[in-house]
Amino acid sequence: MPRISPAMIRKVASYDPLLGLLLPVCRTAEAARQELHWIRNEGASVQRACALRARSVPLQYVLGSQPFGELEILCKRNVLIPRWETEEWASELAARWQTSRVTAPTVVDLCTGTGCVALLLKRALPRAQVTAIDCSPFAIALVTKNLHHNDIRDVTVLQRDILRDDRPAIAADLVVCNPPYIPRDAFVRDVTTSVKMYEPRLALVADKEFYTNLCDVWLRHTRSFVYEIGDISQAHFVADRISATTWSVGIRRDSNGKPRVVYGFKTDDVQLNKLYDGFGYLVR
Amino acid sequence: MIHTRASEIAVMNVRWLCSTTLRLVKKNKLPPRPKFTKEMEAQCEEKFLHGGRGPGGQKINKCNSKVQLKHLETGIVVTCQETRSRESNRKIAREKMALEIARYLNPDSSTDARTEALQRWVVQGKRAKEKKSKLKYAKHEEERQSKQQESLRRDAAIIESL
Ligand SMILES: C[S@@+](CC[C@H](N)C(=O)[O-])C[C@H]1O[C@@H](n2cnc3c(N)ncnc32)[C@H](O)[C@@H]1O
Repeated sequence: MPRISPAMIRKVASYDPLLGLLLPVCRTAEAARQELHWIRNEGASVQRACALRARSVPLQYVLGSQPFGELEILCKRNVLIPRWETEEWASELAARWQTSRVTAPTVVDLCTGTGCVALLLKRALPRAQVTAIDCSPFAIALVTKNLHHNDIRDVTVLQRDILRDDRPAIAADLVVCNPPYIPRDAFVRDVTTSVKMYEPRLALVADKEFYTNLCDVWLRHTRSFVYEIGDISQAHFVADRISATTWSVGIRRDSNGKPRVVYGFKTDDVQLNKLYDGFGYLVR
Repeated sequence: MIHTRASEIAVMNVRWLCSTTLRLVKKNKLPPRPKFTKEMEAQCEEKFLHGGRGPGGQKINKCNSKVQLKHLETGIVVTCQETRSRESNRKIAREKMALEIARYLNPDSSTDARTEALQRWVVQGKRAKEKKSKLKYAKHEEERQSKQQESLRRDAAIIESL
């Protein structure tokens, strides 16, 4: 990324000192102006917010929340901030289940973090039985807060390490998961400063562990799954490991054109064939 | 009855409000905004705009809520990133689009009555604010002067006692 020159910062700061604080972290004057507008709109202490942003603290930790569909998800240090890519597939998935004939599906959200995906699905499908699982005590505490904050009830929240603890898994219609998916070398190379400095590594760094866990553990207990991916190789890994005779597997791109989700359903299930038709493209 | 200066100001304030309310534009009684119809929804193409290349997903935590709406028949394009919420921006973009389409269909009619009223409403709010701050300033000034006189009197008393 191009370096932002001190001259440019000075120029922007002479216009508004707060913009000068935001420019290095926002990268462009346009983005800085936009962010200042949001900060002002949300009634935060503007000075304090800009000072924290100048130190690369994520805006969502500064303002304390991130919109996710129609929900407002509270965000705190030690728990990953929900991303727009996740919001996008989760919203589309919720809409599809809403119009399907299964009105009360059993849903398991693994690696739930703030609980954003679990809560979005529960809001869209009030009769669904939703279980949210994470190993981090910070995440578990925040999920509970978010349930209250969004006035959602009846979501089961469990603290478990899903890679070690394979107590009889829940029989589900849908397993969703946004697992840590950034390999160690890519973490050093590609991850932006703000993420590296302030978001928990536990939520980010892993290679194929969680996709292996899907194939070896969760597949036996569900009719369909939707997993976020960081790289297309992770989708191929799942497709190659899964029985081609019983499972259909697909890849869905995000609106920026990047492969973002690997999903699958039992091939002989007529209902699910219809539900996932057009969600992505089938590779198996 | 004896008024202190501050309560006089309060009374003036009330009177000013009473005498002017009739001419004020009310925010909840603006001319209606054009509706974004189901047909329009079908005629529009929606896009979510992002920075383009570069890492995505968990690697970056930039807020991305920009929405673009294109009305295919007229080529009208509106964008919105007013809020951090993509859902809200989608709604606002549709309101903007409905207004643009109304303007397009009816370039010089009353479709802009709402905009005009809104503008008057904003100006009116600004005036009220100015008045308020003038009053506040007057009050501060008064307090400042009385404090000054008080301290002068005290100084005089001290000098006298010497
Ligand atoms: C990428 S974050 C996803 C959070 C949230 N679902 C979202 O989309 O914003 C991954 C989450 O997995 C959790 N996690 C990491 N290892 C885990 C494990 N072995 N068992 C259960 N949860 C784990 C982390 O605590 C983190 O909250």
